[in-house]
Amino acid sequence: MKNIVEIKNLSYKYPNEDDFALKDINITLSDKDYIVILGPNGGGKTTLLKLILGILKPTEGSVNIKGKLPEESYSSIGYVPQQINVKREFPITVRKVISLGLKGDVSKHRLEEKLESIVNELKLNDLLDKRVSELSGGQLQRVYLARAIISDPEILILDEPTSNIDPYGTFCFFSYLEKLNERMTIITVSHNLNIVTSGAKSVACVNKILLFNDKPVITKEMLGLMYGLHDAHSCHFGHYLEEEIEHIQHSMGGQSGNI
Amino acid sequence: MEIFSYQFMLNALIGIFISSVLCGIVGSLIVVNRIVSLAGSIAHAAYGGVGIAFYFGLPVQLITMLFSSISGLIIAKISENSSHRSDSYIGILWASGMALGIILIDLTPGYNADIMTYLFGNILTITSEDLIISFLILLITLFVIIIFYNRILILSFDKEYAMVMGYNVRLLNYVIYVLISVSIVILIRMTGIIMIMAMLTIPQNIAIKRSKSLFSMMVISSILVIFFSLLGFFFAYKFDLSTGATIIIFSALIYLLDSVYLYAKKR
Repeated sequence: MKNIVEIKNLSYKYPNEDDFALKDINITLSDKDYIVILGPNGGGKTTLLKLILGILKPTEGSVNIKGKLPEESYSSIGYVPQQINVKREFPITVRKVISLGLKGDVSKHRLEEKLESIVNELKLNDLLDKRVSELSGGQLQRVYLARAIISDPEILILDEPTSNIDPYGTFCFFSYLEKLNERMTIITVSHNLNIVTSGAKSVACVNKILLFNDKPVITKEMLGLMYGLHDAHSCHFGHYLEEEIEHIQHSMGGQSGNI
Repeated sequence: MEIFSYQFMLNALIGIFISSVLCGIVGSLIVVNRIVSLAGSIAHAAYGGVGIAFYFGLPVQLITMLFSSISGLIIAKISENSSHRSDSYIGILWASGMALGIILIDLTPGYNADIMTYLFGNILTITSEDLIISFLILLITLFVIIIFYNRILILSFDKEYAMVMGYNVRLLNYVIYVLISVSIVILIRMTGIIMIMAMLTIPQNIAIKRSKSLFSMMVISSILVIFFSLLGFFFAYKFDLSTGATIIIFSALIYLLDSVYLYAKKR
């Protein structure tokens, strides 16, 4: 399989900060991979996404999308931002938000065709002429997903995609992501451990450094890193972490090694 | 109808129309980009340009536009870095621009009554030359908005997404700030530096609740500004009041009534 995303020895330090936000990150993703990146708030998940998207430039190391720099690969990437960043009061309709996802010059006929297809797929027909301020969290997330995939990107990147959605909405959202994964690579970040569904193919945990598992399994080391305890086995919270893993496995239907 | 028999009255009315359309467009950009305090800083710092022009005997409007644009670009650069300190820097620029203007006007020999129109506004003092400059600025603004409408829309709605789309967000942001800075200098004639922010936010906040696009928000805002300005203008003429302050009072009253109406409708 061809490599789609290659991150090599990536470190990032914000201007005027003494410490690195991310240090020595390495990940390679192939075509149709589906990775969930977990981490605590402030652990560097969104920073990592911004580096992959080309919004930030690495302090050290490199990010390559299909062998090119991220800023040269915007046509290959679809992006769903955090809902907290959405300007709800903005005077814009759902139709316009989705159509903004089409890149380059697109004819009116082509735009209508793409719009109709994506709107049917995500069941947004009744919302097209509504303002974003009139939408629920779940509806808004579907609109943003529609905007991200209307141009058929090869990579779909999602930042805390279910933070404002109820449990049923979350379930439906991830079921749809699984379907999308048949045609695109998916990278999603969250601080919520329950986000690792059966659809993910690999898991990473980032808290300044990154631990990667090529199976969709959260290891004890990852939980240790999540809680800022780099050696989970030897710490006082070892027992607590065992319980945490059991709890997550139970909440995901007791799937062994696939939480 | 005797009001229309004077040239300065006709100039004032044409000035109101040009300024109102500019106000509707630029004010909408300010409100949707949530940069009201930054625009306030640009407006107040513009007084530094007025001071420089008076002290050195240079054309006031052009020099103030240049000074205001430089202030706008500095503010745009500062706001790129979203650290908490950028707010303080903007406050410093706000006050120091104003202070520079006050000192230079203190040092300028003689008394120039025209200075007060920059602080409190007086559309009656607008000259034919001012109208030509205002009209040119309006044409440039309309041209930029029409050509870059989609990019400005994406940048204003979702800056991060504009970056992901590969747009030159920094350059586009600078263009928006220069448009705002130059327009503010035109609008100062109407309400003055002290009250300008009301005209750049009140009509736009009424319009945003009734618009489904940035374009319709700009159109509704422009119509509202024309309405408020004419109402204030004729009322001020009739009762011999300050034009700028009368326009603002009418705008604020209508905004208050609109808010009460929307609140009652919701319940």
